Amino acid sequence: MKRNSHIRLPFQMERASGGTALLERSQSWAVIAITMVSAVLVWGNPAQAADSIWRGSALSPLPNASSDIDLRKVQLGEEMFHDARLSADDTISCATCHDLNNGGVDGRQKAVGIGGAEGTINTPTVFNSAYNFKQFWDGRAESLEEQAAGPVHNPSEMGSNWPDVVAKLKKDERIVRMFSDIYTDGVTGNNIVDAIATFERTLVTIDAPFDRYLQGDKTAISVEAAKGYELFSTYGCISCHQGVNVGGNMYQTMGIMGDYFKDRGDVKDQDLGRYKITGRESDRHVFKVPSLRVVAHTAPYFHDGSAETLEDAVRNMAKYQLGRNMPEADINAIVAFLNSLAGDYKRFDPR
Amino acid sequence: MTKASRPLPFILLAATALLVVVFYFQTRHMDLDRQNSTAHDILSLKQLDTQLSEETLKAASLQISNYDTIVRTISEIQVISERLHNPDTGLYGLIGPEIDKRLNTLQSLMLTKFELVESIKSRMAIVRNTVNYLPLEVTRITQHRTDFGSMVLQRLITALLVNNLTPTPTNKDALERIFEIVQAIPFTEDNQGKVDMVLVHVRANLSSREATMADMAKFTDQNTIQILDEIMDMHIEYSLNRIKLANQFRILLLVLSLALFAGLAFALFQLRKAHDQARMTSRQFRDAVESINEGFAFFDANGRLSFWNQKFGQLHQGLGNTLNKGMTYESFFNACTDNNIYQEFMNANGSKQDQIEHGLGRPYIVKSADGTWIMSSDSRMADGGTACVRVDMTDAKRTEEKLRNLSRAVEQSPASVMITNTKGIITYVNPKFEEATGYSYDEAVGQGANLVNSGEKSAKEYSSLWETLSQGKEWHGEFHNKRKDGTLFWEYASISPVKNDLGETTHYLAVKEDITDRKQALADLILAKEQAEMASHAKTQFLANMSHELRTPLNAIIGFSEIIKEQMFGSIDNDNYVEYSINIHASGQHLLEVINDILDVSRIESGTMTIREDVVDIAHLCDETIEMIQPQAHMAKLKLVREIDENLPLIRGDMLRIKQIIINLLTNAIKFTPQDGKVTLVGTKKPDGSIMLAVRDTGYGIPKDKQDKILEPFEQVSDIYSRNHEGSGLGLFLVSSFVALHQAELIIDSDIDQGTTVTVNFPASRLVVDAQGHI
Repeated sequence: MKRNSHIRLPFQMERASGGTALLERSQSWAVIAITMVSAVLVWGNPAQAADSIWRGSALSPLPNASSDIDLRKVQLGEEMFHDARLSADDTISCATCHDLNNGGVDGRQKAVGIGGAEGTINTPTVFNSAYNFKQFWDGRAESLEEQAAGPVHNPSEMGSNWPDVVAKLKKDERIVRMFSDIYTDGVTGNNIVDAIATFERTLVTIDAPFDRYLQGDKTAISVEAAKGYELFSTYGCISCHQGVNVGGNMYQTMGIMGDYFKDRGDVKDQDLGRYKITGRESDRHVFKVPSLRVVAHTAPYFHDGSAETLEDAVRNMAKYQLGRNMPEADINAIVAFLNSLAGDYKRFDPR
Repeated sequence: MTKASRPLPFILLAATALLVVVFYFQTRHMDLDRQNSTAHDILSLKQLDTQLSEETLKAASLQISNYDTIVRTISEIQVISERLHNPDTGLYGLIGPEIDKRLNTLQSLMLTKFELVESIKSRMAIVRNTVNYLPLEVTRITQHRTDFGSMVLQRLITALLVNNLTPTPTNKDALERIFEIVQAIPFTEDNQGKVDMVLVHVRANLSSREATMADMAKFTDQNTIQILDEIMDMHIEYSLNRIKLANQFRILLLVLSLALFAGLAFALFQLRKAHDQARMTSRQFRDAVESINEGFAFFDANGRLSFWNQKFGQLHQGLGNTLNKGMTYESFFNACTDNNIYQEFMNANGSKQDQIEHGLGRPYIVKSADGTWIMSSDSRMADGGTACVRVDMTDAKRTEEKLRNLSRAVEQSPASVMITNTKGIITYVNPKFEEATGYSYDEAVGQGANLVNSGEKSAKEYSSLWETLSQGKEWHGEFHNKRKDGTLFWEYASISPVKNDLGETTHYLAVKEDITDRKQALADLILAKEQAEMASHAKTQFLANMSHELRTPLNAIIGFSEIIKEQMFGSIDNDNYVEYSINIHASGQHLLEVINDILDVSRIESGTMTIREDVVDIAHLCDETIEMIQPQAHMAKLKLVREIDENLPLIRGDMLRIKQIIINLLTNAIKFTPQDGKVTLVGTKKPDGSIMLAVRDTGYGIPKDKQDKILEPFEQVSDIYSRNHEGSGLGLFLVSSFVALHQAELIIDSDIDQGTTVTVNFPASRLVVDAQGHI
């Protein structure tokens, strides 16, 4: 930003239609600042500018991970992601549940923690989580960093705490060295989650067949998948599962058109969704709309892991969220479409 | 430098330093980049807020189908808001509670907005789907049907769409009314399920739409823009104030710095002055040291010779070039001993080694080969250096030698010597004094000078003694002093003040000689003289008495012999008787004269002779006398010549005695002048006013060696002439005495066969002066 502080640009803000009133200030430095803002907005973020061609369309391709990311942090984060010392009994790492070879999930209905402790909720995938607007099913974490600390402290997950974890890691000279190479304060809880979150930002599945389809390759997906895309749009799935991550950018009530939980029965705490966070009645059973990018690999589905197959999931979604009875043919087509959404994960390489 | 001005530069320095620190802290948020960045953040936030409103509105009106932009906008708002809220990067906690309050308000408003946006996003997804789905489903249900139910369903969809496009209470009421109607209408078994689902969708739409309306209303109520404007205003004001403050500080700093420089310059000036002063003092010190008559040198704190004055150089001339700057004290000392400048150490235990080891701070005396005595003192100075003082004592030593001789002379003097201070306290006596008085030195010293007084001398005499001495004069005199054993003795003392170079009396020196013996001899002499005088007086008394006793019968002899000689009572036949009587008369006459003369002499000798002060006509007196003496001259066959000036002035005097003077002189002249000689009486007034009487004869003259003798009583010139020249021998004695009584002068001019001139000069003071001062 600072490099622009002395650049005067002859034009006004391009995007800020509502910001023209701000130019009333006559102080010279304010003018400089405004000029700078324009410069930043126009020049500071080319990715955003390129993005604009997808404006108006509900879905858009996943971009590559930013090459500005510090490779050392990524490597350290990967190390930490797979380090079981983050758990109390050294048995559980992030990767235990978020198996990168298994769609970033554990394949269980509910997570299993230390000592075989049964979790309360289905493990969401770690892939493309960087594109989720909030983390956790109930969106209680604003960032990946905030999320990463959660399981470490969850008694039914890793069941540990930072002082213990840091103490254990500090015994490992190699790890200590890796930390001190990057962070002045060495091994700390903040630095561990920073590294893990950095690593997680590289866990993107780019170059999905559907993305190629969106970018003009009409043969990238099957005819059925293309039909599924159309149905996905016309049924209104796309009203919530939209954006670059095909979901993950809003909340929605589970059971808009039907009482999902009444039908399912056995309503538990974890079924309350955001209500637990906000306490607002309107947030009862409200969950983050999950991304469908790697949905092909993350069965079982829903926060309760109640849908064993993708077809079941689609069927239930149509019933409770859209208030529709979806024919099997349509379900299959939509599943075909959903299968085309997953791209490949490639280990991060800034080159 | 005054007391007040000394700390001034330091105060200035401290003030400037303090100001710099304060300035640093006050202006640490003056970073232009930081302020620009903050300003940019505020503006961005405002823009993003507007953008969010816009996007939310679009979402609420189903104009967007992709919420990623909203997510990104919110995320950006969160990032920037977080940054503004962080004291390290933004404004929070930096400017004041007002802006902090607004930042907090902004954050909570933003959070509310985000919640509302999320709610709107969710609801509008439902609205979108219902709006998309319902017309198609209703169309499917009512296809090819014209029954009331179908119509009402169509109406329901129309009302729904109208309400979605224009969500007014009226439209909503209309929708709800139709909704109730639809609910009440029974549909075919086949369709009832579908219609129920439609109603579910409608209800979902209606509630979502309603909720969105409420959310949007709340959303627009969040006046974040106003808060942001306030924050921006405050930030601008803050920044401007910072700039103003910085400028004030700059000016203050400038002023203080200038004052500081002035202070420093002043301090430097003072330092320079002090330095000059120190140099001058140093030079004065050197000049002073050079001018003193003592040798002076010092070795610096490192023990190296750093300075010596000319006198020091002179005293150590023998060292030659060895005496140089930088030589150590020990090498200097060794050089001095090696070159025999310090040949002999005159201290009691003086040795070279002892001197080197313990010499500092202890004066010592050295004697060099050339006979120079040097008093030395080497002492440690405060800075660790060594100061050496060398005093040339040679002269003092010579003086000491001289003094020793002098004191030996005094010690061995045959005269008593006593020295007192100005208060008369004895400070010294010599052995002779001890011997003379019996007091030892120790007994005498410290006592007053009156130790030996016998008490005979009066206080007056002492005070005259002190007066003389205090005038700085020498006093001579005798003392009758008392020895320790009480015996008395006489001393002749010379007391003189002893003066220092300034002429002040510091002591008195009394040199005394024992004159007891001499005094005794003198006393004997005086006694003898007194006895002789008493004898002489008795003789005179006797003569006076005897003359009186003699004259009484002599008068009878002279009277009666004259009667017989003149044959007053009848003639005497025998011529022998007549002759005898003449002889008796003449002898008697002569005897009377002799007696008279003797009476005069005795009167003179007893000191009772006085003269009368008559007015005397000298010329007339001379005439009378010549007439009286003429018969004798005639008998002696001498020519008597008168040479008297006419108009001789009158004088005061005893007429009888003057006449006697003239008679005696004339008779003497006649007596000692042979036949056919000439006797002349001269009387004249001399030019100086005195009156001269002279008797000049052509007689035998008087030998020079006898001329003094003849003036004494009973003396005549020569026995040879005695028979021829009878007489008492008192004549000239009387003349001489009478002349003296008249304050006149007697001159005898004579020699053998040259005749004699006896001159009497009456002084001019004897002339008779009349009232007008004329003679």
